[in-house]
Amino acid sequence: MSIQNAARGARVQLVDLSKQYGSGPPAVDHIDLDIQPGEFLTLLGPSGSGKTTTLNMVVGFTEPTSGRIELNGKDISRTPAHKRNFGMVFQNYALFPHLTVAQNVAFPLRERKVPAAEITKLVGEALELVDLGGMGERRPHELSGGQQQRVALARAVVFSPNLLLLDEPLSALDRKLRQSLQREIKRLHQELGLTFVFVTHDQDEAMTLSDRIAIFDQGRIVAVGTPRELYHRPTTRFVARFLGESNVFGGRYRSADVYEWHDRKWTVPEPGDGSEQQSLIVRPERMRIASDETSVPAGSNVAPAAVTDVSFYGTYFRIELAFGDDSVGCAVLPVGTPASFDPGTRVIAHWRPEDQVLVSE
Amino acid sequence: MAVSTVAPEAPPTGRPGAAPAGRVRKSSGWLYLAPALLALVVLFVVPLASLVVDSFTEPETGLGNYASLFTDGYTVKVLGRTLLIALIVSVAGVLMAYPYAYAMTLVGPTMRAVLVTIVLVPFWTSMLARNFAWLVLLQDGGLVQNILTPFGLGDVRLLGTPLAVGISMTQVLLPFLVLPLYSSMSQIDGRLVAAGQSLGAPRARAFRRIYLPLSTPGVVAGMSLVFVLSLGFYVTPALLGSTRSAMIAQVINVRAKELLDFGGAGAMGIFLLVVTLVVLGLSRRLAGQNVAVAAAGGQPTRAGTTGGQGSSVRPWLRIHTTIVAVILVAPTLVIFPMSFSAATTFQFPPDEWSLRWYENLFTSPDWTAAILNTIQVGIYVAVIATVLGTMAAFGLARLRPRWRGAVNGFLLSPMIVPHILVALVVFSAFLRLGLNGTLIGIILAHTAMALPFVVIAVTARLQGMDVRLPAVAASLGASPVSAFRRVTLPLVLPGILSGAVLAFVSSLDEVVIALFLQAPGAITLPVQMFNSITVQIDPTISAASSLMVVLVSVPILLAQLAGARRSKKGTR
Repeated sequence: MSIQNAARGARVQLVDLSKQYGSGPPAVDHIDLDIQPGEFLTLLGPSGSGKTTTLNMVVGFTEPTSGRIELNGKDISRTPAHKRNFGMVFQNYALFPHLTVAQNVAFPLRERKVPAAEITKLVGEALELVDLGGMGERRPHELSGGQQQRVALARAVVFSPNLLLLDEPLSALDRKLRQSLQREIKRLHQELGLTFVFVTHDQDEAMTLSDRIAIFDQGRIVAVGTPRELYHRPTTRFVARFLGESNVFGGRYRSADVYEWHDRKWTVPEPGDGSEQQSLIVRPERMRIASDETSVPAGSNVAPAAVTDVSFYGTYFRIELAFGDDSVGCAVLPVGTPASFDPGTRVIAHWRPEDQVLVSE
Repeated sequence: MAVSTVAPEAPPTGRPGAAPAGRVRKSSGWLYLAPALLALVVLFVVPLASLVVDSFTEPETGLGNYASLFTDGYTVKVLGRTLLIALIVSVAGVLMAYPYAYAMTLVGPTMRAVLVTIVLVPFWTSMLARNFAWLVLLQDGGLVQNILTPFGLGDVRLLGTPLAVGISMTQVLLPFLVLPLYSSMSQIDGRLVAAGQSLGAPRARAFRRIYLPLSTPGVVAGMSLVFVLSLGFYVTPALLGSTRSAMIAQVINVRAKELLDFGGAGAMGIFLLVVTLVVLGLSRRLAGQNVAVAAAGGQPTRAGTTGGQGSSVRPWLRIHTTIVAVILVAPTLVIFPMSFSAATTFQFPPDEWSLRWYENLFTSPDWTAAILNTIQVGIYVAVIATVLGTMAAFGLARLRPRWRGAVNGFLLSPMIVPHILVALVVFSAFLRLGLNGTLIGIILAHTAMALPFVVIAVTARLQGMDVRLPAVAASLGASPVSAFRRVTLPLVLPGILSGAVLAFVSSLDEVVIALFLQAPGAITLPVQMFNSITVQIDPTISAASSLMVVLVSVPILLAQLAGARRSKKGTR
């Protein structure tokens, strides 16, 4: 048995799952989620939105108030944590301080009464997998934060779990380490073919890593989809705001092809949900800027704006905009854009109608 | 289904046994706490309550016993003297300890380790051994008098005066000041004084306006602790003072043991307790922290990372620190040469050397019986207190926070109740039960006294432990039993061991309760030592003192060595 080929991605379904503490609003409010075999699913949301509670219910630390958790079609809601065979990587590593690295990784194998020779082999394999070969005799406190988190990863996959849960595993690390560990986690996912459920409040992390993202807000899942779908076709203002930046225009959807914003009338190729109260969203990299309305390509939607600030980021410029109605936004322009705009300049912001999205509140 | 008896299968409807922070079943905490709480109630609360009743009803119902505390001329005098000595001891102690603790924050790690060890020396030297040493030093014709002779003070009597009592008490209690002071000072950011100087304050004023206020909590905590401990002192005034300069504990002893006046003795004891609680309450309010806990858990937590950068140890501070260090270790240094003396008096330094007192210690039936009794009591106390205290600490961790504080306070209460009152309470209760003069009585009373040490040591380990680890183990496939055995227990074990050692040592060194409960068949080594000074002049006490130092320090050293080996090597 080796780690790679023994691991099989499992299918996990959350059915009408709820958790209520005391008499307050439910921490998790009737959610449904179908986690596909082998996929990398991220639970994303602000703190207190219920994602960690959901994770704790899946791993078995918290008992649901109602609803079911199914593993490959079998109800495991009442199975204790130590019998679920799910691996979990915790925030701040949570390594056993009294055990060496190798003993930490061997822990789940010893619980499963794996023969000693097999344990040695699997532990070595797992440590190689996370690039920590030869570190087995160290103590956790002798390792750097990044190394500790990799030990935690090795420990969570060494016993070929059905599912790997990761609870904000990178939040304690600095930016550079975080990026290198993100790549590591992505590689592990591809090599092991395991189902990963990842919890984070960092949208960039969610976008880079995930096959699909489930966005949590106040105990509910408000959107599920691939990072591209959610970024380009958000359905609500919350999703648009939470995932990436947006220029948000609070006008009215009037008829089949007109969106009214103050005295402007914009072309609308898609009606959104068709209701009147919808916001119009334009992503910063889709926003273009012209010095006057004559140089705007025909068919574009336009909004007058004032430049309030310009920042240079090496590969791009970021231009902060103030629109007529006190709303603010921004545009991201590649370096090499011919015109330069100084703060205070009055400009025309414009975009193609197909680059905008109507979202409900 | 017959196989798995080791790891009990949780029923399918059961909750997962191990759970992450805050999800632990709160109600199970009381189950773990029950034995310790029951023991304290039976051994302590009920007898105390009955003594309170006695103090209002014996010999006749009313407030007579309390009224005479403030009207009887002799009692008023004793009370006043006791309060005054306690005040002087705590003030003198702070004056000695504050610069010493400050120096500890300035020096390098090696020197700091030396200074910490010196502070701990009195803890390792038994109470009676230290008092015996002071008796030797302060007696007529003793070392101190000889040193004072050139100054024309050679014929000043020290032994039998409140001065001798004060000197010895100050030395005995110094560690209780230095440790809280150091722990409070090591948390002060040393750059703050530098910042004050950069803002225009001269060094001395910057110290006075910034450092002094910041270290006040430690001063308040240490002083009030020393004050209340001084109030209940029995051994020192009994050995170094005289009946003419008696302190309240001696009067309580006479009233209870010789006159069997439990009403009067009880009133004094309760008064002592009330003063203690008031002082500790006030200081807690002033210092904003739990004094008893701070002082008891007062191992210097971590080397002060914030020590005064750029400030050096001034010459006067160096001299002061050296003097205090000498005072701290001097009594211990006297004991060993004394034990090899050939003289039949307490002469120091000895003229001739011999092993006769050691020979006597290990051959005389009185002394050997006392040694065996002491070790036997210590082992029983260590075992019982460790089991009860460890369970209680686990129970505390499972309790709802609003209960935790109160229950913890109750568990630690034997530490703040004056020993003389504990002795009185236990004496009067055990007298009725016929446990007086039995080793069982001493074991039970010592267990109640030792319980807090175990609770504190284990709780400290539990708090230092990542609360998620049992849950982590569960996620890796460990059953609750297995998670406890493989993760929680190994992590908490050092706390349990040091709790056991502290319990053993505290019982070994305890005199006051053992004195009250003594009988021909139940004499512990400290009691035998006490009697060897007060009843007959028997220099065997010097050999016994040396033995006590070894008996106390060897378990502590072993525990520390084991701890060091543990953290260096693997646990398996």
